[in-house]
Amino acid sequence: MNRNAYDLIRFVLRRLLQSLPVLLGIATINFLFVNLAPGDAADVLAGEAGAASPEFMAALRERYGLDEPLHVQFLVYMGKLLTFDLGYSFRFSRPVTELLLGNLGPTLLLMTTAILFACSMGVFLGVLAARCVNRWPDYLISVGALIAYATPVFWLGLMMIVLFSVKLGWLPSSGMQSIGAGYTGWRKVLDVAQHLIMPATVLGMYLTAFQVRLMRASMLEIGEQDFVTTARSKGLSEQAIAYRHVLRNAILPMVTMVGLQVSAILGGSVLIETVFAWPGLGRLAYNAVFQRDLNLLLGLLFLCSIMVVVTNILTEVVYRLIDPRIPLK
Amino acid sequence: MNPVLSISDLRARLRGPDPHAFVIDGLSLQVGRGEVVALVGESGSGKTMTAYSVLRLLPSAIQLVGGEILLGGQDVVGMEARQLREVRGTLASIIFQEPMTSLNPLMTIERQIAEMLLTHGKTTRQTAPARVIELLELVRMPDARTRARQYPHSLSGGLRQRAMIALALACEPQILIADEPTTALDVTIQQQVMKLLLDLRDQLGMAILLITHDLGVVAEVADRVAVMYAGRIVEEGPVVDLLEAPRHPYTAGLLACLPDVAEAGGRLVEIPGLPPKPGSIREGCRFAPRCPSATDLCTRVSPETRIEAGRAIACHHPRMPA
Repeated sequence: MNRNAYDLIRFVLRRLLQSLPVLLGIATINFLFVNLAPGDAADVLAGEAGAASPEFMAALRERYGLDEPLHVQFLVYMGKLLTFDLGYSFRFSRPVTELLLGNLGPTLLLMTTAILFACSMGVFLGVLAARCVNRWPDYLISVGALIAYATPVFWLGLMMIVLFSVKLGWLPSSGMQSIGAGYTGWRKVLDVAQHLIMPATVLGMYLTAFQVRLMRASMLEIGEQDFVTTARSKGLSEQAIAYRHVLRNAILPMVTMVGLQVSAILGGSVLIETVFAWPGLGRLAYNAVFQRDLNLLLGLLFLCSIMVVVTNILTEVVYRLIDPRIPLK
Repeated sequence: MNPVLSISDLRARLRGPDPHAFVIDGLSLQVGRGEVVALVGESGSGKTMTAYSVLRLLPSAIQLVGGEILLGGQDVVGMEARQLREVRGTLASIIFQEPMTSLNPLMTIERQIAEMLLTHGKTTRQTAPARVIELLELVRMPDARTRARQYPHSLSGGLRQRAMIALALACEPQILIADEPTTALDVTIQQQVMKLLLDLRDQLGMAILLITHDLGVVAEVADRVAVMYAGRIVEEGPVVDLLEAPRHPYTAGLLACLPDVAEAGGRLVEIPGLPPKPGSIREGCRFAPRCPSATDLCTRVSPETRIEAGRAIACHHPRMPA
């Protein structure tokens, strides 16, 4: 057991080391693409002021280092990145790192809840569909998954607000906490949970649909394997066969899929956080794009790439924990 | 003496539009206590499906439509699910052709065998590990203690088949159904595994229904042989009689196909043609299109099974005993 833990730590450290060049590459590409877009922060600031003289624009650019040639800006950016300095957001007048860390928590909470929701529903409904294959529960689940898959996320979000907040008044329509209520302890947890239900459901819906279909197909495929016949010949109940033998084998592709879809969820959270006014990275990204807050945008993209890399490593670790055939090398 | 396994007039067909697509068509077979009976035939003759049907393990595409399978006196065909689960593993158990895929890759050998014991209440959680090691030692698994804690992927094919046999014998069944247990193994390992099965038969007194297409194996291990063709048993008898003096032209053909080392370099003999698809021959003997001695009668009337001097044979024109 100790040896396994040691192998695991070594594996994670090596993978982290290997991903450093990837992260630097991503940072470079991000920088280039962001600077390809016309307009900079000075344009937006000046535009908002209504009018600005060329002198004022030049002063703004000089102050933020926007007047330097691109390669100088790039070197400055990369140099700072290596010391984890992501620069200063001139729109929020706060360091980017501080902004990101403040918004990371809510987004992680939202994403984790959505993924857990999607996985548990995916397993539950997928297994149910596979065990009732070609009977009505299977058809119902498959059609439901198709509809969930095809429904636009923002539309679903708006419709849920209309139904559950406006008409029924069951759930809060936006934000992460009731403003000014000043709850503490369990009351606060409950309050956040109430705010979390709708955005997490909407965000997880698409992934759920995916997981249900995947789980169903995987269960059916594994169910045909020889070792399942062996299990049946041992006199096990169909229940024990499904959960002890088929499910554990069938869950492997799902782990891969979740790992791949975390980046899609990260993208989806931009929409969801905007619709539900969730104070997370997605909403920050939305603002950063429309306000040409390049430092913030670059910081966000960099943080996202770190999250994706970390998720990939996590996926591999989980995979290796479930499947003894894959060595931790 | 009551047979351990008694199959009579068993019929199974492919689900689908053709009601005559029989995979097993009126098969009868008995296996006595401690007896080794070999069921021989080409691929597609229905021998594996016969093996599967004894424990009602047929794939969903195939449906039992008639007949009786008595296992220790109980009819398996009409049995309800709960009773069937009790029978599986305790009265009869089965080992498969592919040891590489017939064990769950995510469970240790110990857990897979212990699961069988615990399901049938043969041991407790505390005593299970010791019993598993006993069983692994019984099948001569080298280094049983270490192997028990390993996953199937770290075992070779031969060792996996040993683990499978230990699993199958865990609840001391009266009959072991072995579906081509050595086909996927090396020749040297084949010998070891077959010898192990025979030793275990002597030690535990169980019967063995051996499904195989290897007549060499049959000659060495079986007491009785049943030759199957297109879902039916065409000839059955004691192993020496049947192999030395085959009476059905199909049996004779199979024996003629065995390569002979003395005639190395000569052309390999074959039975011309292919076995019929289920349901493609409705009238007459199914072997008639490939049979050297077929007559007009053979294509019109299906031969009845006759019993002569301890041999059962279904042929209009059997070869004369020498």
